[in-house]
Amino acid sequence: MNLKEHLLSREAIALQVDAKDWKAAVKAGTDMLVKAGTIEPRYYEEIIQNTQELGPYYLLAPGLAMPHARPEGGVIENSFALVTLKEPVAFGDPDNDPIDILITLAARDAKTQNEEAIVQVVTLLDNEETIEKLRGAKTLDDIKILFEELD
Amino acid sequence: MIEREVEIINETGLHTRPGNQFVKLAKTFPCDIIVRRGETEFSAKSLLKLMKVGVSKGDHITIVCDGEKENEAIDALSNFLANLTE
Repeated sequence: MNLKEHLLSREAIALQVDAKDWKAAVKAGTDMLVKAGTIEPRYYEEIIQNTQELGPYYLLAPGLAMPHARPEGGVIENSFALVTLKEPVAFGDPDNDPIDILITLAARDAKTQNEEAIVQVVTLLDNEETIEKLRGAKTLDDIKILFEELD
Repeated sequence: MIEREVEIINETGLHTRPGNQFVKLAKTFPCDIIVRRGETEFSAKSLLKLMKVGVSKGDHITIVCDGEKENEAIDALSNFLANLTE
């Protein structure tokens, strides 16, 4: 599963989204995957419930989130979604709040999730320049150009 | 500077949640903390780096602490890893 190809081919990219809170930000990502048929609607509920029980365990660094639940939480196909927010939202973690870039991740099994999917997301995001360009992207073409530069 | 080798024993390794907790714990100490696995070294205070390396069950990692409270830090982090159960 190639992160950049997945995002572009499934049109699972939403830029400069208006989200009123962290739940709406998470939903912007999972809604695209539900529409693409790669997750069941309950995957969103799983993420929200886990977050309320365990805290936002998927915040990677200041500004960056990787919302996901376990594979058994309603994953149909391995997939990703990218959401950037017009205004950042707080998830309740002073180390990383506020968040304005989210890559939703859905993997069918734990091995794929840990050893492939997560590695691809963090490899993309472990670069200040990439993050600034994601943050500044207004159109799908901006993302295509960015991904082409990275390949 | 002190270092200690530990084996990762929990099923999910240091992916996502346990990794997040490990990084949060490391950040509570003022000293520099490095994790080494094989030829790879990275800061224990960066979840991005930790996840990029991908530490799994059965991996042997070396924790290296250098500076203020280095003894407390290495004890706390190795105890955390030894007691991970999920």
